[in-house]
Amino acid sequence: MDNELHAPTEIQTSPLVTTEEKTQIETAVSVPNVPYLHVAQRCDVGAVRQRNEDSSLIFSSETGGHFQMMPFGLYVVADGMGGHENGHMASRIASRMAARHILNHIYLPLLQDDSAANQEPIQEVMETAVLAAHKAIYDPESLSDSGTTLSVALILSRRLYVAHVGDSRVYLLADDKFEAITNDHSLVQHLQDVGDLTPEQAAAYQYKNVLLRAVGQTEELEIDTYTRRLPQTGRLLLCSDGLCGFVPDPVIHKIMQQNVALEKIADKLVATAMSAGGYDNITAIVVEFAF
Amino acid sequence: MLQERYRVVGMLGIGGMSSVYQARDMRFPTVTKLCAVKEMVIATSDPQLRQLTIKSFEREASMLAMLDHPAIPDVSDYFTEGNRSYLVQELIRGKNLQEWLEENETLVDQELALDWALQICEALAYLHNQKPQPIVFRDLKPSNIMLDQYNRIRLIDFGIAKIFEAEENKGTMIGTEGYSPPEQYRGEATPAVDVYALGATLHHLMTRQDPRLEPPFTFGERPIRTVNPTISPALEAIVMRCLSYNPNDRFPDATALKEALELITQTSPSRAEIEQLVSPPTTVSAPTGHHPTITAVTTAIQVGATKAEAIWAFRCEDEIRSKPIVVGGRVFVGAYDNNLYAVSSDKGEFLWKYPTLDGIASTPCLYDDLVLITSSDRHLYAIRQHDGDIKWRFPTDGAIYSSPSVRFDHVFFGSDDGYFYAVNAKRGKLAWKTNAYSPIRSSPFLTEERVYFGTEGGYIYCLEISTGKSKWHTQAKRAITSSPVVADDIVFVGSLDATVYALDAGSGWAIWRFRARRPIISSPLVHEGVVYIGSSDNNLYAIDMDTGRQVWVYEAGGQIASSPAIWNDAVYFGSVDGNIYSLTLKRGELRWRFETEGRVIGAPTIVDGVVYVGSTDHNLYALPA
Repeated sequence: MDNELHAPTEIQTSPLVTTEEKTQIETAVSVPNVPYLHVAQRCDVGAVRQRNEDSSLIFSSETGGHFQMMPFGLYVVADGMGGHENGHMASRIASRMAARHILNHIYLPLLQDDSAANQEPIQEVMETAVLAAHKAIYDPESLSDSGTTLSVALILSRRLYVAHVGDSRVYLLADDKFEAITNDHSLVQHLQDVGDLTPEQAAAYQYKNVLLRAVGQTEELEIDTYTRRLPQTGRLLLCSDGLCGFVPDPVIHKIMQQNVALEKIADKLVATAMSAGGYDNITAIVVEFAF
Repeated sequence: MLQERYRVVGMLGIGGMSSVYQARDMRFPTVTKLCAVKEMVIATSDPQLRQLTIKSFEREASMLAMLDHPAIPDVSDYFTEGNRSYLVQELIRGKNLQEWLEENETLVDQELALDWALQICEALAYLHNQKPQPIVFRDLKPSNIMLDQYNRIRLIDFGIAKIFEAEENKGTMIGTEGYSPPEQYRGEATPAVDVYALGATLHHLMTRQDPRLEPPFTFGERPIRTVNPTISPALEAIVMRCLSYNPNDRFPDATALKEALELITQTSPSRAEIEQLVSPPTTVSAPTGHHPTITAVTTAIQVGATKAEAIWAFRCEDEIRSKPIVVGGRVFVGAYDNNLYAVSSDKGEFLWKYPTLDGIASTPCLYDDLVLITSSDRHLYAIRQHDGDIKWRFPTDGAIYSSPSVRFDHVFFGSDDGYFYAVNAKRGKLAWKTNAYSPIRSSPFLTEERVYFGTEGGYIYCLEISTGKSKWHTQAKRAITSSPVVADDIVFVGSLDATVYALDAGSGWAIWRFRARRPIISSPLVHEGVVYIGSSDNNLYAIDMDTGRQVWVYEAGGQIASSPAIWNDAVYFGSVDGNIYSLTLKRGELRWRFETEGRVIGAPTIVDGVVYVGSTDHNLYALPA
């Protein structure tokens, strides 16, 4: 973190302080690390589908030099509604509209002046980004009922922000623990939540692709948001249900843990989904972070 | 000649609305029988009011005529002529103690002081024990105490003595500045008023320092024994207890005082006995006629149908608006009476107090054997925990409401002078100060590397703890008086703009904001992923730390300026409705509430299942959690 860029003009160390008075207090400050965000992504049509209705987007920014900006990483996965006429359009519009909103409201202001004053709370920006995507797609007049899942993850400073609708997922791998940090807004998940389906029954459930919530579908949209401080190092996975709907979590976990280049991990994830049938489009964004 | 009976032969005294004459009773024409005739002018021209005044005078005269005590002059007659009422009394030959003071240059020694004190006390005790209501003298002072020709004490000028009536205890100040206690300025007249006035009179006699010439209620700054070493510590302690600012800390009436005085005349009391005589009672309302003892408060805690009781209450001389700190069997708390108090945590017994020069609104913090406290007298104080002696103090240019915090052997706090200070905790020397350009009343939160605080100008600052250099700042729409808390690298703070902010601790970027309906002064508490904070919209909010969404809300009977505290599965806070609340942590359901007599602004501290909390009713309470 850079002092100077964030140093406000309103506050200054008092010029009245004499040299004798201005002593440095000894603290237990550790040596700062060089933070980084590495990423690899695959967005594959799969083995069965004709068209790729998934969309993905990554945008990351790191700066060098004396005035370093905090690392900024934006990752989006959208899965257009399977079978719907314009699913591929819906996922493309949603992912790009959400990204545009976040870049406009967070990244560009950061480039201009990274004082935190007068900025919109990030969580509200995340929510309005998904709402903007929703508005761009939702058309009550249209006969077509195109829609999409939308999972947006933002890493800013050392914190992860997620806004999410649908059954694409965001997983976090940290300290050997691998967990999905999003909830699926799907019928199959709902039936499991209320106890009507066991996980085994769910795996073979006929209507696995039926969503209870999706961007662009109904006038009102409820958005899940999530934030957490990230550990010093770890990995993040954003994927569509072409991966997580066919490959069990423990298998994904094992691949994510491998000490190889991120590209290899992404390839391995797609290959595993393909060998499970490749029935749907497969998207995986793998991020490695260190602070 | 009055009533064709009393021939005025001289003037004894003249007051504001009354004069006292020496008169000869002509009913005894062959001898010279003298008496004192007190003349009171009926100032009003309103016939109804005039009638009322005469009635009340006659009632008082009848009451005085019924009194029978050697120290109280006999009343033999009363009457009204035109717009003047008259009271005929026994003439006391001798001099009053004011005259005695003027004629003598010696200090009243222990023996004489005790003798007079006991005589006065006896007369006052007689008055205080009158039924159905105690009679309060209300204007005891040297000039109203006569030393007659037999060297006996006589109380004179009963013109203003008034039957104490609970429902009529509001009125104008009757009494004399310097000798009258603070509550008398509010029109209160209880036996404790006479106890104070007697204390003030004895202090005057023993020190020859005229209280009318000193700032009011400053006897504590003028210890008797430094002027008059003949006075024993026990007598000094008794007099000082009479002079307690708070009536409940004094002997409740002259009987209790008399018993204490008798104890020291008969025996040489042990140190423990003296301490017991001096220590303020821990009861909210002290029992009359007994030595003060440590008694549990009986104010009930309301829990639906069940009731519990406070473990103890300790009374300060003014409001408590801050949070107490408990360590090593001691409770430390600052009060608006300027004092930092140390009280035993098990029984609420007074240990020591340190007087600063102005009210204390901040919470103390501990460092080694020191307790650090800021005062609105502009100073930071370091006081020794065990004996209450000052080790050092550090001046700023503004009143200090921000509570100090210690890290890396330095103490950090803000001042109304607009600066944020880091001061060496061992020596009280400045390490650095940073200009925030607006008063700082928020208390800092310290981490390994950073310090966070808010300003009245509406900024939240993050400084480097080692140098005071700014890391970031961010702005709310109104003042930040609430003190920030950092958890999971998020800064949580409330603002007078009615918003709870969650900011990224590294950058100051807002993560979420939660809107209450009215301003927030309460400081947040974070526990297991939930932020608890009060608002002046009367609500205590439980907010999910990660999402900023409301988990539950509880509406109290008044604004919540107090910050919450947690013990086991419950959250505790005070409200200006006078209650201390305990709610379940999970759902915010009421467990119990405890009613105090004043607004509760300070936060509770909970240690080992005991809730320590102060109230503006002047009490520090210990309640079972």
